[in-house]
Amino acid sequence: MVFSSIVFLFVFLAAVLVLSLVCPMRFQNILLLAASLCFYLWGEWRFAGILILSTLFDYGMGLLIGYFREKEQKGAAKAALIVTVIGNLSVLVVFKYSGLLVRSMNALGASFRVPAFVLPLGISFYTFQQMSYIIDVYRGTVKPQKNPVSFATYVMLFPQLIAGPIVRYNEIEKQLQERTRSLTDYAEGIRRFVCGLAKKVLLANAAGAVYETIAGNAERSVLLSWLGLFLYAFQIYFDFSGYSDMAIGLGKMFGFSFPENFDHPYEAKSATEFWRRWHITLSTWFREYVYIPLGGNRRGKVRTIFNLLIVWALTGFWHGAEWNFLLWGLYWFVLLTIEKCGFDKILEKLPNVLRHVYALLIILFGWVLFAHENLSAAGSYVRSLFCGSFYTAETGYLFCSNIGMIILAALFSTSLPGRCAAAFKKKTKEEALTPAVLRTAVMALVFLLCVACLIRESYNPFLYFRF
Amino acid sequence: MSRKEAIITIVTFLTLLIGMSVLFIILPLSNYSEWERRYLAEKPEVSIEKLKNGTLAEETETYLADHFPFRDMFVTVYSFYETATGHKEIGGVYLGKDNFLFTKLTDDEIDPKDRKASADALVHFGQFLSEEEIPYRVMIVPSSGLSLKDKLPAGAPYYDQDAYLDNLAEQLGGSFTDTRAVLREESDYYRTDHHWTMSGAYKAYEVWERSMGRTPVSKDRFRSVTVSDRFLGTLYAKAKPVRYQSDTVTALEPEGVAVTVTADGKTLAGLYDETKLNSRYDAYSYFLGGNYGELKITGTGPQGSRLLVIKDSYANCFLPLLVTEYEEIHVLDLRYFGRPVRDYVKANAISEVLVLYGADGFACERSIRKLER
Repeated sequence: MVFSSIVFLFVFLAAVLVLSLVCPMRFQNILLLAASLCFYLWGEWRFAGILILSTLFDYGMGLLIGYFREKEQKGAAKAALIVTVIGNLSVLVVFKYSGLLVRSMNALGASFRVPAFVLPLGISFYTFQQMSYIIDVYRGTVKPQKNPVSFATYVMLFPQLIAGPIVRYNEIEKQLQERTRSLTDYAEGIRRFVCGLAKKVLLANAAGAVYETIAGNAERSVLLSWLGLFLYAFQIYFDFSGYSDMAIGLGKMFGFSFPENFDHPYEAKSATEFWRRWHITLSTWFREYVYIPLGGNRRGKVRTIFNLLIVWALTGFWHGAEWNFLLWGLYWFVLLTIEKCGFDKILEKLPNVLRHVYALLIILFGWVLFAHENLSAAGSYVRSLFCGSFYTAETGYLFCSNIGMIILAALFSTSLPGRCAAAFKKKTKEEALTPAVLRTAVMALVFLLCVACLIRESYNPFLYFRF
Repeated sequence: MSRKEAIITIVTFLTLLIGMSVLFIILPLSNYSEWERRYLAEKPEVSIEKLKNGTLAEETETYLADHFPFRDMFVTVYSFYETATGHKEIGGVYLGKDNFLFTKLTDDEIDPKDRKASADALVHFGQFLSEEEIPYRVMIVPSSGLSLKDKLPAGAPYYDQDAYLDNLAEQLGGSFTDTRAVLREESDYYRTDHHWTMSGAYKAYEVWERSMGRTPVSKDRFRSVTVSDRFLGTLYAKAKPVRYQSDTVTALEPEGVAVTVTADGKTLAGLYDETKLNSRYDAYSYFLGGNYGELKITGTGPQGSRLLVIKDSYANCFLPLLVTEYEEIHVLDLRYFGRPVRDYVKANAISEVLVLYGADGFACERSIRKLER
């Protein structure tokens, strides 16, 4: 089930919110777990078994590792850890990467049958969450979770189950046992959710539809190609950050506090800064569980660069089981390494405008790699950014016809709207009624507009019109 | 956030969310949407199989969207938002100048294979008819997107209809009756519907008659009747635009001519169906009452003059103009007619054939290749 659907909002969420209001605190986890299972089954019936088995496996292994630690059997604990990590990774490899592996081997001369696995929903997210738990139990930074309901709730919690943020176990360990729901948290959660819904429905979907049109046009002009690239950047940011906002908002409504995942990444002034603002929980995960264990930057320059290479190759591959994602990861590795080796000092001396232009350009070219599964398609897109006719009538049409969405998307990519809202809030009294009503009215209107958009999207004129 | 503001926010959101769900359950559901002239989605049947393959989720979403409380209002709100943010197209319809709406059709949407198959079918059918010595005319009428192309939004992608028709004309030679030169005026097309008006149809009728070497029946011989002045057609239904201008539907009706009309075996009341005028969205169906696989009109023309018209709905307002010239007019709509047309020509002693389609519909229509059989 996706958040941006009428079924989710008006059947699932409406029911879960009502039940959650009447359900006593000690049964909240059971309620959320049951709701999350329904949520997953509705969208991904076939692979629910993998989610459940994987949860049971990690639950058991967590207890086992904890037991060995308590008995100070370090070797056994380590062996159990290795078994668990391999177990989790093999699920990921089989379901996510086997197709790519077999196709690549076939390309090199082998002739295996390409497995017809479809990526189970959320598998990249929940296996990473579970691994954070297992590794932390091994490290002793968290205690193993004895209560299977609490553990399963952590793994399957529907707000973050399918698209993140990647919540590390230690971040919500206490909240799984005990959490309070304040009125303000609840209200802020609602606002955050509506905000995310609007990003997804009004901006990401709209930008994506226009990008598809542009990418499908083989004779696009130079300007149109640039427009397409910006629209793709908008689509991917608003889609992803919209989902994170919805997850964080829903989390708050149920008393959880999830980590932030995006911080206006297109405002970055360098590659390094971009990755401090983009998909923060994933970068944190790789830092905690790959980069630092490999030695981080404490083992000399060469080793640091090697560690970065590993991290970025994995980060690339995490985003998708195609070679272009690996390439995209390596692209960032190269840029980040160049910045680390002294280019950042030069950047700091440049005026802000130039730094923004530099960062935007490298981000946009990165998206070209990200968007095209094969390299020659990416190459021809890059070519269309510089060669061919500069402007066509269609360019003007697509730009003007989407001008409102483009302005909104550009505006909401920056922190400006947030700062304006904060300034407005500062100017008014905390207890003043009018601004409170005004803000709520805006939220309600935006929500209704999203609903209108969802209704309209599923409205496909019938064949009847072809009479 | 203050406590007060938090309470306002929570109450508002929960009221909207739960209120809509409750309204959905208690409000009566209708199964037909008048302005779209379509049946709304039926309640999906639940089965494990459909849950597994995802169709249950899809069907449920469509069902909920179709029956959502105040759905019409939401669709209008969305159009308002789209228009306000600069959109020049909604739901596959261009919002043109002077409130003209156009079907969005681009070159990518027309499969070159289909294009060739359709043209071939017309050519081969022509060869068959010339062997039988039956006169043959093909009239593919330009749509408003070509005739009134200045009214399309600036720069809007649109298929090269001129080239499309040129290509057909070239392949069909003398059989192709070109109406592009006469269909040039606003009054030849509806603003909110994809059809041509009576005025457009009459102009094409004149061109066709002359191409057959005959004199067209004068306009005065028909009674001009305005049957609706508040028509909102198919393009309106697709886009539901904020700004629109309803159309006037006029008919040129033959006076004092006794005709019998049978459609798919049943006798109709006549050439017109007044019950369709009860809805402002259905006024074009006044002509013949809609589309049928096989329709037969008995007119007052000389004995043995039997015209076969192979057509789409563009012909519906055109056919009444012909009833005094033929003894029988046989009308086939290949979308709903499955028997071999060549046999039909022989069995009914057809003396003349006209193929009449709107260009947009013809470009997307695959059933024309049934003529090969």
